[in-house]
Amino acid sequence: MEVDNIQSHIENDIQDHQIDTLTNLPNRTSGCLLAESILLKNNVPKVHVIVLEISRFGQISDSVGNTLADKILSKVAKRLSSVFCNALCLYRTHGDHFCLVFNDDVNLLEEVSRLTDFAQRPFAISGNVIVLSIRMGIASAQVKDQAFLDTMHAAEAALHYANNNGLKVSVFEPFMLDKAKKSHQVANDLRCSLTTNSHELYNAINSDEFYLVYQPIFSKKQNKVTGFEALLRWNHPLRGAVTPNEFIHVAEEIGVMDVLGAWVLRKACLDIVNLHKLSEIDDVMVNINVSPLQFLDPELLMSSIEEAITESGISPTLIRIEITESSEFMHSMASTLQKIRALGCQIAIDDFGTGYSSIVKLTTLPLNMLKVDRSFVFQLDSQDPIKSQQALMIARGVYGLADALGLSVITEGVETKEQLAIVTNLGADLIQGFYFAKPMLESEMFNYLNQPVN
Amino acid sequence: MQNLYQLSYISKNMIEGDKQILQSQIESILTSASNNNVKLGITGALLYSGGYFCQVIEGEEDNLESIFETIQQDSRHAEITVLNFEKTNERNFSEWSMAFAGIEESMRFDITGLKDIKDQTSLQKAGKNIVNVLEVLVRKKQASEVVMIKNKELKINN
Repeated sequence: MEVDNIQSHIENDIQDHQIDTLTNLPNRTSGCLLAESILLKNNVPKVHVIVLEISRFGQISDSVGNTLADKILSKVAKRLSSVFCNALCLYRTHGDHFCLVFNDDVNLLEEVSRLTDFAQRPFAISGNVIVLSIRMGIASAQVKDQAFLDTMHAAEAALHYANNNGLKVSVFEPFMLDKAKKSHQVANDLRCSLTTNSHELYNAINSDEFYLVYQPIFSKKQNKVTGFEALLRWNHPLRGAVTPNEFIHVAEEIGVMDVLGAWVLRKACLDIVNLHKLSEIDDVMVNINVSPLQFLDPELLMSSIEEAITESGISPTLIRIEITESSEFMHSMASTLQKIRALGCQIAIDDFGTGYSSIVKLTTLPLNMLKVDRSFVFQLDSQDPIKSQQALMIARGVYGLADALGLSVITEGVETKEQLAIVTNLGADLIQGFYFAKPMLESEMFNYLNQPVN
Repeated sequence: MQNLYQLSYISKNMIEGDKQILQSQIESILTSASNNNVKLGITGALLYSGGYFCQVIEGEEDNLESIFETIQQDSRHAEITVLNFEKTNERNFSEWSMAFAGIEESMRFDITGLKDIKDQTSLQKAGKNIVNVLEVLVRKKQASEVVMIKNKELKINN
């Protein structure tokens, strides 16, 4: 459908219309109204809705600038308008998201294939050649059974699912809506909790909802606990315990990791200093996870670390900052990591062996330590001899690599006596895992530290 | 012209059918290209080579981008790889709104190699090579057509 056509439809059918001035397409509100009116007018029995987004458009926009990014959106809109003149309706829902509505008489597979083809053809814009790729969420429904808005929401849930699972196309299934709703609710609750708890997070140190648990790190050579890893937990008043898997990525998405991360740094340092005072053991270290997103504002991160050190009085040499290997910001992290090292803190790379970092990259970062991912350790005593043999070779390789690079190693996820025996035999010293202890509350650390080692 | 650009690309032919159908479709492409190009001051050349189109277009930036977008929306080709898109001081095909360099049975360029090129400089180099090949082919074709016309004239005179 041509833009002119869409406009005339809107002028005829929709009183309160709004056109997106960048693309000349209807916006979300008027697009939905337009679609509803077309479906009604044409007595369409069944509808297919495709919501599409341009992959990594944020990154493209950052690299080419807003003006060019706007031109891209405008060209995409024009191309979709021309190529998909068989669609009942096309509109821009928001940002880099567009929605195409088809009558049931089209061949959906063919349209998906055309959409993939045409969206990925190059654009020549202001002297640049730009090649895009897209993701799609698709939902189909009988018009008499379901309001158009619900079908569009379903297509959006499918797109969300495609995004989270690295798929190019995803067709709606009911569980996706539950998942999308849940994720939306977690984001809302997290925002509310951070607002109501902001005083505690910024000023007082004890939060009603957020707390830390600590998992011991045991040294085989010294036969004692030498440190604890601080792990963030959230206990929502109605929702109950929310797992980090459910809320950390949401916190990152809604941009609150800085506040949470700064609180974790303060609280963990204070708790460990408190443990030093109680136990009169003053060399227990604390491992603190820092989200890659916190590195986007290096000044804020540095001041959070410095404030945590000053406020608690902890020796910086007892702090290990854990970063994840799968971070795409790794390259830009290097200078901030240098500054953290200059304070006296150590740097450990978490989940080693599961991310994408190369050995070359490892040597460019100011690291002290690797944490061997639990997925390798888990396989060490597998009943399947091939798997256990492979895991053994990988573990041996990682220890050898760490040794060659002058890095120490923490072996995570040790759960059984057999696993402990194997990794100890390979020369592992620092061990973390359920075999020794599950993560525990702050109040339990002192007792754990004082119990005899068996 | 201040803002003169040149763009070259290769794309896969999606026209189904025998040689006659292909020929008539190419004629239709050339006719509509010529019509559109004249209006926008675009010049260029097209070669069909072993299942692929190789095309060069040149003109003022906005008009070139507009014609390129029209070409992108044509379903008679797919898998478009742009080789070079750069400013240029002069046109290679100033005499033709869309010169036809011919239909060749087998692909004269290493298509997989071209698609695998990742760095900009090599792509531009490959693009320039295609521009040069097309120019040579077009001039040869023009020369042979002139000879044919001259021969015809000679026969009539005799």
